Amino acid sequence: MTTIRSVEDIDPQLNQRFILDSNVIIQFLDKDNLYYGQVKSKIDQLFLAGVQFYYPAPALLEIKNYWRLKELHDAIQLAIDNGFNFFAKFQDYFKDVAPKRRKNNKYLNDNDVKELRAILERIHSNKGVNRWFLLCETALKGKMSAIDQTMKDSNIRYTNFGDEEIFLNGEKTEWPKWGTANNLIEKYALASNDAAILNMAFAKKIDGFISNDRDLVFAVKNGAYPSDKLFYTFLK
Amino acid sequence: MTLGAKNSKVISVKEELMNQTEKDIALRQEAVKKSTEAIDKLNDKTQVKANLLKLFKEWEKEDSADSEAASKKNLDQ
Repeated sequence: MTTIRSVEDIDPQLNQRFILDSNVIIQFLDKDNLYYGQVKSKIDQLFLAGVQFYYPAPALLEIKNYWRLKELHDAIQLAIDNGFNFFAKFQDYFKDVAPKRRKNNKYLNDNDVKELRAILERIHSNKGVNRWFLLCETALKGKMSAIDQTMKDSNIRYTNFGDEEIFLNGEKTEWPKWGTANNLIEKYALASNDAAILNMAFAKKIDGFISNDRDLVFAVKNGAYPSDKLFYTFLK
Repeated sequence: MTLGAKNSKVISVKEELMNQTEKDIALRQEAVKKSTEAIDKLNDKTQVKANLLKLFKEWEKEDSADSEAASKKNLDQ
């Protein structure tokens, strides 16, 4: 069974390879995140000591989704903070849910966004909906490509099955298999994205995985990741 | 190869490795600097805040014009 270790206990080796889970990368990128300082400084420190960090495509999608919700949250909060009088029901709903999400170090969730849009639609089908889309466009304009660029400029490398260094130059038997991701979903009921990200860390040339997802930690504690691999977390 | 030549080869390989390590460390330091700058840029909200506040002000003007028009209509009736 894989031991769950603290990131503080990593003994960095030159060219040691780790896949980072999306939650770790989000904490590495978002300065408003409670764990930004801790995660950013540790990842940089390990990188300077020779460790290589990677992320696969599903992690990038999760990062973008997180930022979408963060920007929408911040835009509505900005309106409220500046005394702009949004439709009252819309504002009341936001004021009710946003502090609850922030308590969990998150922003809005998908259902909140759907409900906020529906409230505007119910109040005023033309003006409300138009304003919703204008708000989204203004809050999110250029953000997704900015995330792409930030990741390109960061010290975390993108990897996929076409990565020669990690996958293609190895034996085909060393590659991760989609069947493994399916098993992770079926056996541990992991979210499909989580399973797809962890699956990449099964590759022989990857030494381990770093995640701050409690569901994943629980699954790994119960055998979801091979015992000859390393699994680290910032969680206490 | 004489012992002297062997020793000098070992020294030159060692120097090359040290240079390589120094170069690698410098590259990594540069990568962290670039990464930090990129993150600062991603988190900079100056422009988006300005754009949103401009949008909110436009909506306020629209709302105020709408309510003026509605009051006028009420008075006319």
